Amino acid sequence: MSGNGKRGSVLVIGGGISGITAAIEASEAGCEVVLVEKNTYLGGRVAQMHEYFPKLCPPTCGLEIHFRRLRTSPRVRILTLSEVEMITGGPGNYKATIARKPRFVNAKCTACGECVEICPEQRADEFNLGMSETKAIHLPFEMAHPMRFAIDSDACPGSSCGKCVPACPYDAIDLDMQPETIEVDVQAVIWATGWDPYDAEKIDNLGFAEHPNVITNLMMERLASGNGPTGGKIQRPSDGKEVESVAFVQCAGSRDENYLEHCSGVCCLGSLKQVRYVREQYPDADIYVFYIDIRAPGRLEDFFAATEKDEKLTLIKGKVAKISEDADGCLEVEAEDTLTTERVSQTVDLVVLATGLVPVAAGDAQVDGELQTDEFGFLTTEQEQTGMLAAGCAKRPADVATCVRDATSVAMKALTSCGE
Amino acid sequence: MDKKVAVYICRGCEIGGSLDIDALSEVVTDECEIELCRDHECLCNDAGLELIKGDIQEGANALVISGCSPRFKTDDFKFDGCTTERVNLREHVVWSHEPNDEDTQMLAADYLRMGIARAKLAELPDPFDEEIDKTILVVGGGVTGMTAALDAANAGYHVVLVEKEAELGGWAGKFAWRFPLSPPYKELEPVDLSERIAEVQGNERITVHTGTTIEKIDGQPGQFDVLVKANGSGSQFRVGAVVQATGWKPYDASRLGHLGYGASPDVISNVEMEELIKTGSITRPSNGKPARRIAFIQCAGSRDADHLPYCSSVCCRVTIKQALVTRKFDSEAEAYILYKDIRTPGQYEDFYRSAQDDPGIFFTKAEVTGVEVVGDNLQVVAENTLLGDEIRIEADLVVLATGLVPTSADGEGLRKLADAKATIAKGEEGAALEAAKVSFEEFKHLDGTEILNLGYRQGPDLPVLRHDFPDSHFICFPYETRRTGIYAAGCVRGPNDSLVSMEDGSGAALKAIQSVELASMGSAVHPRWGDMSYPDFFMQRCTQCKRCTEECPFGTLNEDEKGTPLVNLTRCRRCGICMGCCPERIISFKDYSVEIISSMIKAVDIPDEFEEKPRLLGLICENDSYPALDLAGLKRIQHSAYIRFVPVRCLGSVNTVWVADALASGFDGILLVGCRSGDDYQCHYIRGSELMETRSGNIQEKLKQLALEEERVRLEQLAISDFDKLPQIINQFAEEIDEIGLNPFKGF
Amino acid sequence: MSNAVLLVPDREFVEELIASGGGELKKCYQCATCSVVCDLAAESRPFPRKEMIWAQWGLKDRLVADPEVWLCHQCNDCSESCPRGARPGNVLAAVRQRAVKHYSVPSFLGRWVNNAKLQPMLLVITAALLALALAVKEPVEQAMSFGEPHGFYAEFFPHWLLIAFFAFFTTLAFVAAVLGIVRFWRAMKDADAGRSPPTVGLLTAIIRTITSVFVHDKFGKCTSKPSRKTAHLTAFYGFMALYVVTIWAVLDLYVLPRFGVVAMYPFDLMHPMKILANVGGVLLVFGCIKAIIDRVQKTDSSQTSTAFDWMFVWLLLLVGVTGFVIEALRFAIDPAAESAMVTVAYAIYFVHLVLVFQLLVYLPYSKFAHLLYRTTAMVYVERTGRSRQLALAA
Repeated sequence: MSGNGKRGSVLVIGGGISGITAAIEASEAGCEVVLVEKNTYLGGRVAQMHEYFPKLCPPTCGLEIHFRRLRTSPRVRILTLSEVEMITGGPGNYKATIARKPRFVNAKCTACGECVEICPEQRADEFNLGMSETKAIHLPFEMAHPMRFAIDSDACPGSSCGKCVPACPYDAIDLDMQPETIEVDVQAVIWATGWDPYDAEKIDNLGFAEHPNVITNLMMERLASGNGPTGGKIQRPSDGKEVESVAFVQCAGSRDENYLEHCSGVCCLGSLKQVRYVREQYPDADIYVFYIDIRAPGRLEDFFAATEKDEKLTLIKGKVAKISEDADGCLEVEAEDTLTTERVSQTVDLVVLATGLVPVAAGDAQVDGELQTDEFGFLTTEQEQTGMLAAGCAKRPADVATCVRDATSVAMKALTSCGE
Repeated sequence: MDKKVAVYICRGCEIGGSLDIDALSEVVTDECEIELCRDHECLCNDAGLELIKGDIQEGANALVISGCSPRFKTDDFKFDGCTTERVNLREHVVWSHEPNDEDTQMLAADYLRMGIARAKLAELPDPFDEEIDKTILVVGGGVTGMTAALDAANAGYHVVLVEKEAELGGWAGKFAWRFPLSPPYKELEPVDLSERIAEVQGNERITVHTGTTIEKIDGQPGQFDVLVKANGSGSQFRVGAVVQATGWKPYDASRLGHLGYGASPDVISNVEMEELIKTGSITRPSNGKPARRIAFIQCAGSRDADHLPYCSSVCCRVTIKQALVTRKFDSEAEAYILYKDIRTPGQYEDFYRSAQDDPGIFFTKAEVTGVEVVGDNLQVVAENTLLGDEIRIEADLVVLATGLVPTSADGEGLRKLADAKATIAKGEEGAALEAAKVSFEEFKHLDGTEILNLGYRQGPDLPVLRHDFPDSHFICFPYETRRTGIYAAGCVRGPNDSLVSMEDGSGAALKAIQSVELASMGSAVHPRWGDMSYPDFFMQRCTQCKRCTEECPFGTLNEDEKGTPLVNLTRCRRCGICMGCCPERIISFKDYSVEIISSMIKAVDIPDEFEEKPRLLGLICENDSYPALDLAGLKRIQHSAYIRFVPVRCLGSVNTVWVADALASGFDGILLVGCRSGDDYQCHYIRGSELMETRSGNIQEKLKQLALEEERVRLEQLAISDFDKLPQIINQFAEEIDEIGLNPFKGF
Repeated sequence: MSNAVLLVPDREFVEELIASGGGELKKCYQCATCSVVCDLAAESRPFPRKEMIWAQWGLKDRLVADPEVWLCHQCNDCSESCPRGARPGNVLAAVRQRAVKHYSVPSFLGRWVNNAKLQPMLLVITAALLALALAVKEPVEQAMSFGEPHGFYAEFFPHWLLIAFFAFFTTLAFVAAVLGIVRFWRAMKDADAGRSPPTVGLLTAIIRTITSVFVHDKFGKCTSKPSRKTAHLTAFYGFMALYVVTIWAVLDLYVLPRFGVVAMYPFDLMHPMKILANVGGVLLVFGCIKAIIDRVQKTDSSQTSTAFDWMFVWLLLLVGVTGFVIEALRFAIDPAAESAMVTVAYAIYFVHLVLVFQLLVYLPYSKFAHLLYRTTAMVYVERTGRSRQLALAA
């Protein structure tokens, strides 16, 4: 019987909340884990969130605990800036080929920040969805794990500039760092590749990118975050004006055969949560939520009920089909209130599109024997090859709590496919 | 083993440039009398680490490493056989204060003194060694329980599966059809659990007890002694961890008179509808004639403050399934679905679509105001429909989509009931008796609801949260309950479809496995995974005040009849709350004790009243607030140099004697910073910060007695993301104390 | 509770709508995108979202009494942007067809005309009727004199007979149409239940409507398919021109002579009426061909054309084409010489008459009826002032 703490090894693809959880849970049950993340930091999408529903607590609180567990866990090997290129072999013995991009900053980095001042190159900060800039050499965000600077090779001219190299007292900067290929042998592969936000520009009638004050729900998270582009102040992108009225447009692309056929599952609560953000900053703001169905499953209904009590919040059952902009950047959203059968056209300062989740699934990875996906592109729960496991949003649109639960269950499945 | 303290001061990351390192070294060598004190340009580089390793070779075993935060380079500065005290000169001193400033220098010196004080006392924990049984007990033989059992068994663990009914399968086994659990999410799936049940029964690692209930579970993780009863006869066995997968029960439809239940036999619940479906044809209970017009009323009792405030999640899909089944049985049948919102999340949108395409299934949002019996027909009356007006629809059969109720038992309520009974039985009198009677009335409805019958002082079952779901930190750590080694899974934790329930069963199985594995290593489970220290009770001085047994959030401690705590170490999460609440200060960890922290407080050099330099003590939660202070440092946000921070495992582990010590030794104010308490608590030990609130109440009392201003002690709740606010809080507090003036006891 | 209306969901009607072009109607999940993208929908009680759920529940009575379904000019903006692919545009078309059927007097004609299979039979009946008319020509002419036949085809089918014949049947059709319209109007009133009382006089409403029809401004609002406007507008004016010419011909032959004006019929090519006729014919043919092409090109997109649509547009085209053919023959043939060609010309003329009969006499039952019902519905909403909200909406 098992229990000596020695287990097989597991590859976890994706360092978001699902991947981190799967990795930690598997390792704390004795597995050796390789955790592969394509970004420079762990945390994935939740790292960009301001707060979680329904507790309205910061993701960094849970991430801190996770990172502490990772810091003290000898069994998790973390590969950032890495992507799985190929998986060969079969159940019981998979061989994964991982391509790691250079970070140009090595383990000697103390995150002291001496290098930033001297760096002449600016880059759009993708962590803030391009709403702010950083230097080419940058700390992804203040809770980044690993806590180490990184150089954006797209923005950095390399050794032709090289100003940062002497600026670093710990010679942690290595501009000649090369891409490497890493191979690992594992018994199980956990796909925790998560999701990408649906590209709102594709939705022709909602005027995203056309009207600066039409933003996506993810942009709203960054705006509300203390570590975001506005230091946590929710304001109009066009002129930084305080917002007196906001409209939330549900199912922006989701449940729509012209865009995303599936329901993205979390957008309703996401928007209700953001209603709270707005209310916290603007006690008198008029808030409108245009919806088809409010989907608040289980006890999340409590959160919906509590939010609904807000007297300056109006819920309109009807999808927004037109958004037009006036001279001073205000937006007119049009819908039919299907319960009163009246057409509503509401002028607001800010429009938030509740854009949905697009599964990343296997991405560009080549997998022997293929992976099975459903008609929406999510990986199916039952894969033909045992030991191929999908977790979290790679499998279905889900909130954090569900992803964490799912990741734990998938870690269990990994354990069983590692044998005893 | 005798201690050899070695102090290292890193000069890197602006430390060298902002502080007088030689002066600091003198503090170490002359004042603290530590011979071995070295400084280095960058302790974390190879040379630095070699330097330390060299001294370890020479016998150094209590290391004080002054440099960056312990959250940083953590594994680099881990040395086997040594206690390591990280003094945070970077984030908490030079990055957040004036460089080369007298006060900054004093701050650094104090942090060194405190670090050294701790290093002198802290011991390496030696893990307990208990005989650990790794068998997993699964309570409930539905899909959740069976999955948990199979997964644990397939991972090599012995499993005992206890089911109170005669057959395995639970609810899922009672239904003929289910909505699709795999793509394409369009067609109905017939339910056949026989294979799975056979798999469970055939697995040589799984022992199945059907028709069996749990009489008692005594002991602790790794050592649970279980007594079960099957038709009269009992049997006993030992397990290491428990998965509670007792599932759900349908909401009592008889409370739904306003929706016509009881008014006519043709108004039935969705569970009764399943029984009709099993018969293969949908007929009217009243007259056995085929039911052709079937009205489904959604959220019958769910999303309803008077009944179940929550959404039962599956009813929409269940109703769609039932509508499709009735159409499958009879092409003449029509189904009218009256919903509040159609909730078919994710891929299940396709299932909704497939039902919409059926011309015999009619949907509308509606608020049903009543169901009337008209002749031998039923009429559903509804308003706010999409059809324009207030409507009535005639139907042969009305199906109420009733919700899911967890089969949980309110452990804490049951405990209060038991206490009340005891008090009354003891024939107590006066107030005690009255109180007992009141609480008896309040909780008597729980009588006989026990499921696990745990031998825990704090109650025989898992504590419950809102709506009677067993408690769990349900976002980041959904499996964390207040009962180590006992994990709820499936519909007892919330309304789930069977796929999610099965996944949940797997997850709970993994947590159960972890708990026995970690127990066998003497390690704590989450959130202090890998912590080998544990609370040590100096029983001779125990006064049986029972505070520890009451306040431990995890029910670690039982009591003997006298009220002496009986320790169950594997239940313990090492939060130190017991240590915080013990008035006799008899509880301590090898590396964390009242004495250790007191010594750190006393180590601070308090300037006399003439220097006009107030000193503030910050007792700060190491999980969220301490990192927040680090982040403030990283952002170079400045805060008052008068405050000295001591990280604590949890605010709940703060013993009020520290406050007394601090005031006695001349501190002018004490700031306590921890996590949010209440319904949406963020405390990683559930009640730690809440308990501190009550204690700080008592502290205020003490202050009054000492004729000191209450403002001298302040409790703040802070989220890790509020790192930018923390410096403001500190500075404001410093200003207030400045206004109040210095501590009159200073220098006595 | 008492004022709650009893709904009787009608699955058969739902299936009927599905069969007659509304195939996707069940897919609608009531997001109301359609009601917003439609530039013809009013601020209050906009369409077609509510019509969609009525259709899903088979609420026939509401749908046939709903003026909004006639305001739709089927540009299919709604179908284009429908997130569920429910194609409201097609559903409303199906509803309109059912409404025409519903109000037709006698109802059996409504059923027959809208049944593609029965078209040959109807043609035969028409042919038979015309043949019967020809049969009575000789005896009647012997009984009484109508003067010399005017022109080539009059030899074959004299004008007195033509006019008598068509006057008789078109009058019947007219009566049937009026009855249908009246029933429709009543239905609209009852359904409205006083929610929107008249705001302008009937006459004003009619005038406004007619003007709007003549400029086709409603069509103009439909953004997605401007081409449909051209096709419809040309065909519409072509038909109107020919209608005027016909009236004029009758006046010319039988009314003006009484005031001493010499009948000029048959007009020569340069006669203004002839010019108008030819221009009208061209417009009609062009319009029809364009419409057909549009439909063919659009088969993959949101609009699907039913037999109901096709029958009508082809009929209209054939009327125009045969019209030109017989006109050409009239100028081309020397009656004295080529007797064979004459027979051919007469035969084609006969076919032309059959088609004209189908077009005019079955008007109240065919798609052509939209001329009546849409105009009526427009007058109704104009009168109740909903059209002004409509103006706001646009």
